Amino acid sequence: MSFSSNATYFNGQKVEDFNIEKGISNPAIAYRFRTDYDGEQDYVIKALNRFLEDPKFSQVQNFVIGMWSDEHDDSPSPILELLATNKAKLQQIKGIFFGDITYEENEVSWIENTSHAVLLEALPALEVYQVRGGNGLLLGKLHHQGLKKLIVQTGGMGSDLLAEVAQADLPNLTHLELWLGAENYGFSGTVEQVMATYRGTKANHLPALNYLGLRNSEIVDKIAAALKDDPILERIETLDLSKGVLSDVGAEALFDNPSIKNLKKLNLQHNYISDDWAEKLNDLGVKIDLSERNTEEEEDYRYVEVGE
Amino acid sequence: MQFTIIANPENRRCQYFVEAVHAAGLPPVQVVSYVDVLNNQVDWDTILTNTDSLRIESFGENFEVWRKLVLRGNRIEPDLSQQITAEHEIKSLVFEQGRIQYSKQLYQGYQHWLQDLQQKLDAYPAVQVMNSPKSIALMFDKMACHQHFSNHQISVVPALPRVVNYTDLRQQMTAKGWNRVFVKLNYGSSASGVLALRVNGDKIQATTSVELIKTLHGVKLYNSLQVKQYTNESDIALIIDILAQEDLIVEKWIPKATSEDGIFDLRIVVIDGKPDYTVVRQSQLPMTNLHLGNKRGTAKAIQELIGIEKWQSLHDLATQAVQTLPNTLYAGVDVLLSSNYKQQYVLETNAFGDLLPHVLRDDLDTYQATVKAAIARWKANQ
Repeated sequence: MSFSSNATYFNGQKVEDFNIEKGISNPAIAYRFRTDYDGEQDYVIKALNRFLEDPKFSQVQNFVIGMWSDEHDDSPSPILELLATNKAKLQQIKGIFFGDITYEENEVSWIENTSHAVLLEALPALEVYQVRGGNGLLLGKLHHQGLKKLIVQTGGMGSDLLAEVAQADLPNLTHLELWLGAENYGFSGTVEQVMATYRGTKANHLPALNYLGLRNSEIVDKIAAALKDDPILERIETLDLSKGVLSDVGAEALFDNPSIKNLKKLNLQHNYISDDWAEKLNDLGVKIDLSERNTEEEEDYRYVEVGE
Repeated sequence: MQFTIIANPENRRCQYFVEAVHAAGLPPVQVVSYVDVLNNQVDWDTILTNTDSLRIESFGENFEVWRKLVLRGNRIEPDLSQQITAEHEIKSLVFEQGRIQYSKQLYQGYQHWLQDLQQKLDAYPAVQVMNSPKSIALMFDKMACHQHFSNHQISVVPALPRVVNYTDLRQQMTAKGWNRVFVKLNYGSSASGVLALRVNGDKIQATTSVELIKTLHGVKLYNSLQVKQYTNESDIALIIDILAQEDLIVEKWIPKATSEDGIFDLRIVVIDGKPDYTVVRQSQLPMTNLHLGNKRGTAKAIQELIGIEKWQSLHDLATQAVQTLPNTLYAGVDVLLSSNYKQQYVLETNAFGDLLPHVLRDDLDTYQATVKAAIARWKANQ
């Protein structure tokens, strides 16, 4: 239950709800579009149309899509189509956060999603793409020149999506962040399929990668073990295995992996590591985040932080 | 000027009031204990003759008082055989921390006693009550209070008409097209018997402080400090069916505005028409009650976030809500701002909601402020 707050900043800009009467008062704001609670249907579409027609739209760099349907979980396809249709106007856009939806607004594992390929293909200069909600989510071929940062947050990531990332051609991607989730909520990958996302299926996969986040995973112990002697650790600065159920098993695997010392930062926030292993990891000499350790709970009470 | 309080004398609420009156330089408070009241061991004539201002305090946190009120409420039950069975059960109950039961009987018993008290007060028009029995009874009954506010054009969260059980709840939700609701015990408090329920197709999820315990002898419900999640429809239906026997209020679950520390709402204590005391309740969970491990936020941070105008209008709403209540000097009002900041609603109003120790305004805590207001009211009438 982690998405308890809406975004206050996105891609370096302050986030504010778009006001359909006022329009764009400051193009340096990342405006958010979300359903007008108890308001009219298709409000998001209507507000986006207004946004696109605003004379200041050409100066806008980022925007955010929030909860797109009120009570009934509609697919965001009409929004994606609208944006893709207006691609000529959208070429200056640097970042989109599609799905700034809190736990209160909708359960992450219940968000009905769809393929975002049409939008990603339409915006080759886009640099940051963040999307939340894994049901039905796909990203398409992911042959994208501009993309530097890709964040995919799910309660459970499907193996088809993992396969898309494994086959991606993202020459400028520095930041790959996948919230893998739990099997109960749709995670259907294997540890090999997760590894394939950063190893790739062809040579020179994600050549610019600097940050690798395999977060919110219930198989993070296996991922930690699989990272042994992985060449990815020679070239990234940050490894983020936070918000999962990392236990002493994973802690030991990381400790016994000499390549871990190449990292500048290791994020293990929210974990189930014992005091002993936490101490050993701290002695590795890598900047490490071990906050939110859950040491008291019995195994049955362990949970993935974001799942439901 | 002589203050009288009806309270559980051992409770900190009573002590705070006694101290506040003492600090105002007034004669010691006349303390009338609920146990004595319910045992008919109180000489009302002497007490009310010698009272200028009366505070009716919470009866909570005392098992004997609870049992007596429940018994009193049970005697209102029209089915005599059921009444006798329940009476036997109630008398043999032992205290179980957090057990949820008999909340309707408790309300009925208390409401019945409040009516009694009002009759006695009618003979002593010079006695000023800080909060009238009628007002306390109204605030205690969430459905009645919701209706009252609706009638007075106070913005309240949309609610379903009476819901009798889980099947009825689902049918009413479907009819309204609602996927998310809060199910609450109609006479509950402190998030007791509250479920944040959402459904989507065949999926269902209830986030709640209710703990369901199934034993060979039946099913029991408890208030748990650890908020739980149920995804099994039969368990959720079981909980709701049990709670529904004690009456429910079902409200639309409006997503609340969020700060960086999660969702928030405001507990605003209105005293003598002024919304001077505000606590920001923040949570990572749908329930913001502070005893569930949630944090107080700072007013400043929220003012900066939502802007002073929205902050002010939330306080105006709380003040207006209390103004509509019959003879009410103070009340704790919970107000929410929707996630897009567009709507604001009164969630509920609590007659005993002024327990905010250590929160000061002009060097006065809430108890001192209510005493000050009562003194002013009394003087104005002399």
